[in-house]
Amino acid sequence: MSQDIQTNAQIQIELREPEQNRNAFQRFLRRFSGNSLALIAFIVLMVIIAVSIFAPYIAPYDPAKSDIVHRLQPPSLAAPAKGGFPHILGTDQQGRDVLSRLIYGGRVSMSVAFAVVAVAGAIGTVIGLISGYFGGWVDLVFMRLVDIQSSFPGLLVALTFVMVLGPGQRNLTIALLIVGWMIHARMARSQVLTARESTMVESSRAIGCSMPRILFGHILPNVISPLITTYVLEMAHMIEAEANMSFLGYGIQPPASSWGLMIGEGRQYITNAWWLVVFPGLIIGITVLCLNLVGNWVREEFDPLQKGRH
Amino acid sequence: MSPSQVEAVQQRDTVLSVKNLVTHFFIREGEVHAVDGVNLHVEKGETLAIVGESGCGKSVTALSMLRLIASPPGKVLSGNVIFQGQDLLHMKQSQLRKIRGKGIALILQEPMSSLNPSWTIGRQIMEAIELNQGIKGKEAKEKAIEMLKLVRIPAAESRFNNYPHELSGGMKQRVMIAMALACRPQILIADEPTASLDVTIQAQIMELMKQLKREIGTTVILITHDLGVVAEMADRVTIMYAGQVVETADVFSIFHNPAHPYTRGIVRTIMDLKDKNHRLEVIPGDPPNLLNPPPGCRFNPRCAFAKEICREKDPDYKRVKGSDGRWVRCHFPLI
Repeated sequence: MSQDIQTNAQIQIELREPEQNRNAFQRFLRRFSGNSLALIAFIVLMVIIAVSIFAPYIAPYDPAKSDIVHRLQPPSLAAPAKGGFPHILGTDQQGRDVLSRLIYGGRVSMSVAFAVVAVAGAIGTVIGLISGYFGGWVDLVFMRLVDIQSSFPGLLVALTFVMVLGPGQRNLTIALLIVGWMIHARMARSQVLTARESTMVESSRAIGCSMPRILFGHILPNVISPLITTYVLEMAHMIEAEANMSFLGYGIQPPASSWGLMIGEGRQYITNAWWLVVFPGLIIGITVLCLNLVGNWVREEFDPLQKGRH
Repeated sequence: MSPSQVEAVQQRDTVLSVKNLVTHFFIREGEVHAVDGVNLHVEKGETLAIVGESGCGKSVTALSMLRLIASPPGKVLSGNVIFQGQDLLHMKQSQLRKIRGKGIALILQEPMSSLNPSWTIGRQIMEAIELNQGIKGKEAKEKAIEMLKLVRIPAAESRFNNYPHELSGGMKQRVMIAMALACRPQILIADEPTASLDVTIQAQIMELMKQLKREIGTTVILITHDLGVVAEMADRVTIMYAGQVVETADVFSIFHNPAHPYTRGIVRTIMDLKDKNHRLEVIPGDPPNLLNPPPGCRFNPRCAFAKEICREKDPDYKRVKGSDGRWVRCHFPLI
């Protein structure tokens, strides 16, 4: 009798599993149901990321190659007189193709934002987990550090660091890291504070789990979804921060390009060459908007209490 | 038997003894005397029931034994918990971790929230096996499925991959029991294992625990306020009131010949279905506020037999003269 039940169950598993695999993509799409805006944002974001990754194969021109004769050409679909691919988004003050610079600039902007969120997220999350779990003086020290640092405007702190360290992509990343870890620490701590009181933690201690095992094996998986939301939203924030810093001249240095730097460089031509500022501004806006939409979707999707609220 | 022989027998049989355990909680309103001088011992292979109403310190006693009290606000102030000749209250965390699970396993009150929602139940049982039996991988998985079968979970192989939210409350409690048993404990503490389950499931779980006890022969400490469960499962009973042990006796004596007025009070609250005219008795008054326990015997404000001395002097917890292992905390025991 009981054997019958087991074989039935095995058959069920065997039937179910291939079907699950086949529908993996469909099941993913279904998670977006009722939120087509998030789906569009997600697709746009993926396109931007893909274009950034494959920039050398996609960009029609070398982003650093100047061509003074054809400087400040307005956007046009017609092939230029010298031949070659049309300057769809025009050329800048040195005759460089704006589209190509946008594509390569995205690479820089995205990689700075990604590196900052990856490292600051990891460090901040671990610090937050530890200080939330242990409480006491550990918590006191880390959280006062966070308080002190957040009493200064983030951009100001980052600017100071870059002024001391010298501009450039690496130092910009370090500066934004120093500014960016706190929010993750705060977020992780607040989540752990409630999770550590749960009977689940008590019962895992009762079977003899060690502290790291409880913290990273039991608590972290249960608090990760609001943290993922923070990571996504911080991506948007960091893209903005990178643009700000580069605009001010303390971020990415020419001849490399980033979206913020392009706006900064095009600023003085804004009256007669609007395309130098509008297109990078537009792409920053679109990216940040998409990241926010996806971030909101992640929060709603993984937190059942948020579902249906907008 | 000579006194030394008596002692030798006791030493052989006693697997866990708690002496003078004091756990207080320090909150804004003051100091809660949650556990105030608890003494108990557990003999090998028996089922000891710890009985008392809500808030009398049963669970706090169990958690204090394994040093699982959240601190702050709680603190174990004094006492000894002797297990295998070692005092659990004065031992290194790393040593204590080896006792938790393998030596003494705990089943908590809330099966609903005691399982990790983001892991499959199989993986959680496997974790208990890996931590306590030193088996890994495929072998541990087989053992885990064996444990699921042991606690009578149907289709154990497919249930292995279920998440806690896919199981009912009774099933979750079975998983919790499987997890505790997977540690191969010498003592299993079950803290109101059926508190949040409905009556039919309660009966099933209790029946399961009885069967498992027969099969495996673990020593069990059963914490409960259900006297029906006590009558059915326990060998000996320890009655707690307001953070203290008031009486310990074999289960027969507790029901038929209680020594403490409080024990008599709670036994008389049981319904007698044969006698239609029987009115249920109640114990007048409320349990004392443990922030500020009454002077003298803690039961004195509700006790029908209280005299002057009861209001002044807290009685000692002492062996009843001429009895076989009966202890009571009362100036005027009823036997």
